[in-house]
Amino acid sequence: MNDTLKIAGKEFSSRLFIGTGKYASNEIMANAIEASSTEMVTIALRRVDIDNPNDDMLAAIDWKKYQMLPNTSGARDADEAVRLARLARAATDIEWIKLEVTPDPYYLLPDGTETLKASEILVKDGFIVLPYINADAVLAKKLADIGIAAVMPLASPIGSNQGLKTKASLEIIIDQATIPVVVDAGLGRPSHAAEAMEMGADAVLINTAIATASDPIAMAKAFKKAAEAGREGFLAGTATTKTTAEASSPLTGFLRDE
Amino acid sequence: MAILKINGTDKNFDILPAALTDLLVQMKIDAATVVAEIDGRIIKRSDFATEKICEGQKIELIRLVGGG
Repeated sequence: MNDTLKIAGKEFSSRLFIGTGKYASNEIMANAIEASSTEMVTIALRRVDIDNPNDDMLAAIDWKKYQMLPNTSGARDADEAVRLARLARAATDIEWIKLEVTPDPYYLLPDGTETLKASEILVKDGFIVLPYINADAVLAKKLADIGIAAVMPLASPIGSNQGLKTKASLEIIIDQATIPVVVDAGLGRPSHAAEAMEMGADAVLINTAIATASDPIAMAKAFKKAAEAGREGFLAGTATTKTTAEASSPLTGFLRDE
Repeated sequence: MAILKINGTDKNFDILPAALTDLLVQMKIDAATVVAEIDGRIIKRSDFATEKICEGQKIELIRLVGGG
């Protein structure tokens, strides 16, 4: 079955995106990425640690196999996000950007108005923009209208592993979407990823749940299967939910006299 | 003595490095893995060798790290 995901004209056969934060070592990270069969890998930008300047985690990853997706994490407003996006482009020569604007460090919830503002600037500047947003269908549509490549609504707060707390709102986004929907943040277990994909999400992004598992490589494999199973379930046409029982076995020929 | 503000911290130099490349060498930073910003201007890696360093500049040295 040819079921590829297309974002900004590029085709992906894996619908699992992987983040590179929080791994215990670069080697574990690289092996987990490999085990996940992902084709899209996120990274961040930070100041060089002047006292330890040459810790280059990116060298551990074979970038020929993956689309690099730099993020603007740490940005508190549109200006900071645009600055980080431009630095990321200068550093990588890649125009893909996962746009994150999170003014509040406690819940890391995305600022919708600043995200919209930054998206307008970055789209005009030639970036392929994938904004991280709250599960807000109206904002998702506004962003799609200005030309972003995919929208990344959250399932629950970043790194919280709470799963699909925004499920009803995500369903509306998916229902109305004209661009790919990548459920990002808060998916803590393979079953969460499977459920998001069953709902019709185009992809899921996982970082904390894999990086902080006891065995990140095994967990990466589990998420790979979960994303695939959820996608196949969606494509197969999920059976409807009912409030009462509906027998699976025939309701005739019982071994009793009525 | 000349001062540069590098990644938010004042650094003193007896002799200022001539170009950004020289600054990176002096700080033992592999130029291939960083991107720089001087007084808000992004400096592409290909321009590191020709980018002159002047006293009082605010320099940001940034690199890619793990993130989600």
